[in-house]
Amino acid sequence: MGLQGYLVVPALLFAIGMFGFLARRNAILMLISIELMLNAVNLSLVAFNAYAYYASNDAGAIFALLVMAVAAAEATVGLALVIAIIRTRQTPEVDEYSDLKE
Amino acid sequence: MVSLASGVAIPRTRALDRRAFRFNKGYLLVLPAVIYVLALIGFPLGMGVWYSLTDATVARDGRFIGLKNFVDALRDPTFGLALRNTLIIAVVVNSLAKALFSDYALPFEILSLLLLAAIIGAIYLARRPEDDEKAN
Repeated sequence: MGLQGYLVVPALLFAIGMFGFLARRNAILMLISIELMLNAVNLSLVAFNAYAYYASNDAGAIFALLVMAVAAAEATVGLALVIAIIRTRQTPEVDEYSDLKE
Repeated sequence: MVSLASGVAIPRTRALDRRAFRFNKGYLLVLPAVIYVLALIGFPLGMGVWYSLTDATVARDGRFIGLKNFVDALRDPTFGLALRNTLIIAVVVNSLAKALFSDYALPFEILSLLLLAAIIGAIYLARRPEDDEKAN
């Protein structure tokens, strides 16, 4: 298995997250799908770091940590936005948010 | 000679007295910190040590059973496995923490600012308008 196994799982995770983001119409579930994609990227970063030729430094793991923190910031603001918009429109379905289209 | 000796002796004792007084005042000023540490760290630590020697559970006061808890823990194979895994994780995370606070200190600091901005923005966005009216 080795590196390949650690790259197949992130690929699957990313595909699931991408499908969820495109297929779901619920804003909160779309946010969860974005988190899934970000975590897939994290997993591949750590895997490349562990199997890299110059594996003496922890750059990949550090980068994954930074991505996690950025994802936390993104989730915080995104969830606040979703809560605010659900409160005003009374629905989490993104198809209903069509004021700019009409 | 006698007057000279006494003339030298008196200032020396005064200096000693003053130094001793200052020493006592220093102890007095440290006292709040000592009380704080004893109340919030020393007392819970002592309680923890005492509970480790009794068979107390959450709702029930225990009685003294000596070192039986420690013997049980060390005989448990799961405890040994958990201890080994904890040590491995501690070593791995230690290198990450060192890198985070030396080579990657600046990104770490910038990230704290980003998270702070995100928290403030989220609080502002998710706040209900009626909360403002209550506050005013």
